[in-house]
Amino acid sequence: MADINTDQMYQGVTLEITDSKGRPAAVEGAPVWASSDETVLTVTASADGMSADINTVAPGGPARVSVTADADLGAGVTQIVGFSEDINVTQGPSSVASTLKITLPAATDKP
Amino acid sequence: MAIDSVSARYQAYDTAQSDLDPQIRGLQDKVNDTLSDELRAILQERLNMLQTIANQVSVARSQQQSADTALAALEDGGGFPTIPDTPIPPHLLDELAREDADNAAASGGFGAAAQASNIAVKLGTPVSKP
Repeated sequence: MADINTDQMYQGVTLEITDSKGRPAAVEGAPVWASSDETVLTVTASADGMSADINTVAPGGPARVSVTADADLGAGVTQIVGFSEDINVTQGPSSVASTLKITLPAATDKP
Repeated sequence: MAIDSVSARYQAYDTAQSDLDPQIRGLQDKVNDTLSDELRAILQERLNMLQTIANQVSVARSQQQSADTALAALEDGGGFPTIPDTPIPPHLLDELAREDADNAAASGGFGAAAQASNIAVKLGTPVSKP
């Protein structure tokens, strides 16, 4: 579980793609990123799909980011999917109340 | 009912044909006689059935003969069921072996690409929004 607030984001999130023995492996085309809840998190992937920025939208969660890729380097398609850990988004300090302003109305005669 | 030997199968075709032919001829005559419509319909139905069987026997015999002829040609050709080697002079055999060795050497520089099976998403540390 990862905690983040609305003043923050994850920049340059990366992928580690491996085979069944843990060795680095290639995929066909650019991996496709998605957010499980775009009211909480949005994802902007790089052109090659190998990294992305995850931006916070509003408090909420847990939300996750998924990445889908084609493991078949030939003509076929073998889809594999990876997920981030769950992400909880809390309110950031910049939008928490920090000032109280009291506005006095015009003075009036006592009744 | 399956018939095992080839000769028994041809005999069965002959027997069926010799049973069918006179019945078909007789029924063809009968349906032209003066008969009630009901009886003529029954005779015509049987005639149709027997003609269908006779036609199937004829097709089966013809295709059986084609298959037997093809099998005989295959067996007489000297290449079935054992495919023979082609003898060549030793120096040509050596050349062939060298070619094979070159091909094996060329293929040796390749390896199977790892098949991706897992994607891990590395979030890293959150940063302040710009």
